[in-house]
Amino acid sequence: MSKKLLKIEDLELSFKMYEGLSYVLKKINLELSKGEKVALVGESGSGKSVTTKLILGLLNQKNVRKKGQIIFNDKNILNLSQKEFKKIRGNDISIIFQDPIAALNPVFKIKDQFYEVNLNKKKFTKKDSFMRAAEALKKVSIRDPERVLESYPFQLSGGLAQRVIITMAMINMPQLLLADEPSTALDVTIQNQALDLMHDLTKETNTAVLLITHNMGVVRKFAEKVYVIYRGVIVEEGTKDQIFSKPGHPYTKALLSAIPKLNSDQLPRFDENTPDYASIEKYVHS
Amino acid sequence: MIKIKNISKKFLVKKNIVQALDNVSLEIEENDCFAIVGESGSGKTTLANILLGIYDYDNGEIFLENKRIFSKRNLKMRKLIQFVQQNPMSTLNPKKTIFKTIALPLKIHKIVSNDKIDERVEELLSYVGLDSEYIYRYPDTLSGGQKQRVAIARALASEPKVLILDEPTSALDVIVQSKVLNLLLDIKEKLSLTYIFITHDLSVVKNIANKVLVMNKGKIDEFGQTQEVFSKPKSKYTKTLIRAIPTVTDKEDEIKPKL
Repeated sequence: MSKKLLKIEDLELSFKMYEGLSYVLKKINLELSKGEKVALVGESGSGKSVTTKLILGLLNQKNVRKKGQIIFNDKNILNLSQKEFKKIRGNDISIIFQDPIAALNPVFKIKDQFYEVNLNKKKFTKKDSFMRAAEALKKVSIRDPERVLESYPFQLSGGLAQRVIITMAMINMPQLLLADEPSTALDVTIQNQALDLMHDLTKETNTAVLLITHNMGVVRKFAEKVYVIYRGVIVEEGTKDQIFSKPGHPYTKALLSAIPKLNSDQLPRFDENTPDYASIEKYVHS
Repeated sequence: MIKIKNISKKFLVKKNIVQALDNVSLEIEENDCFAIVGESGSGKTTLANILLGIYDYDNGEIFLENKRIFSKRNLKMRKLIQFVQQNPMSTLNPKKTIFKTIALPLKIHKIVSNDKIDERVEELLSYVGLDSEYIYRYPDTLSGGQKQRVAIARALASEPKVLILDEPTSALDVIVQSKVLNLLLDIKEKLSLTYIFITHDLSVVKNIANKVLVMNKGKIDEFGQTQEVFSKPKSKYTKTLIRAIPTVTDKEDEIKPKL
């Protein structure tokens, strides 16, 4: 077995609330090798996004209780200080968010936002940073990188902004890319382009990707390995083929059967009273 | 039911003219589930807003049951077309109980007498599969799927003939989406409604619509029976759209058109 890049061991997360602790993640185990493309699938509230936030050290509020380990390159990063995290973010681990326009700062030009990312790597002059960004944008087949760099985020279309974001996330050649619903806000045709672009760029630098999504179609197109998460519990893991051809857990089965299929003329109907569906609830609460 | 003839709509953004709709003509028959698909900016929501009377149109004509309609309408015309929006979180008034939300159209359109409103609200909730215990709850206490059900009940309250559904399930999880879509189909059957279904999710369209209109940059790109459009798409744009649908089985990939 190759060495693991990221290893999440018995990760637990809860938020302290007025009524007591609310448990969000219950003993999550997850592994990623170098260059591997892994998907974490689940519905809203299942805990998939908080997992990425923990990996990036973005959950530090007073009401957060966390337990377990996140081992990145043989080092537990769960309880690092913000100063130490700053060295990791944007260099070793970077992230792509769902809404590309919201992820960019509306009051700075794209070139200034690239400058900030570039400084993470080494001390660039503004001019060198511009050149570096333009070159990277040219590689993702943006025809006029100079114009894009001189624009504000609101002047870009959604697809173009997402390409800028992906380029920005990949410019320092991170070892791990977290993609939190990277294509959900985009049209289907542009969604495909964004996924292809992520695929090509990460292949070039041998970057591992943790794709967070609720769209099984996107998973099938992109991932090699799949984890299915439901209410803070990983209910199933397996290779892409295993999950799609022989889903084991009733929740995975329900998830796949609920998707309207292109080759049918009728919506899938499933009965909530079947033993299979009822056992999902049982499994998670036990 | 609805006849649209050569409708155009321009928006003036600063000094630029955006042609949101360009000479669109179509006919929606009674009991259709009429899907309008296209990428963002193709004009599908503008078309819906014009049908609802939110915007006026520049040229052309719209007929509803052989009567010409404009953006200014009387109550009687307004009640015939109702609307369900994309985001269930923002479409319900957070300060109103579910009861008040659904009772309002009943009062405005004088559907039932005042003493029968309670009864009617409960009946409407039962259409969408919600218990009567929900009537004194606030929207905050409901899940996304439940909120969307309330929004559908509210749209049904004025006893419309046409329901315009603008991405009614895009904000929902797949399992919830499947339940809400099935519910919508059941209601359509039961109340013999006409649906205008706006979406970018083509797999959903394939499964529930009988007619599809593909829009591209304000123009009609392709129109036909669902079966036909999916099995033999004519335009290149429609082909690309269908090819781009993310799928979960090999069988689905096989039936995608080749470029």
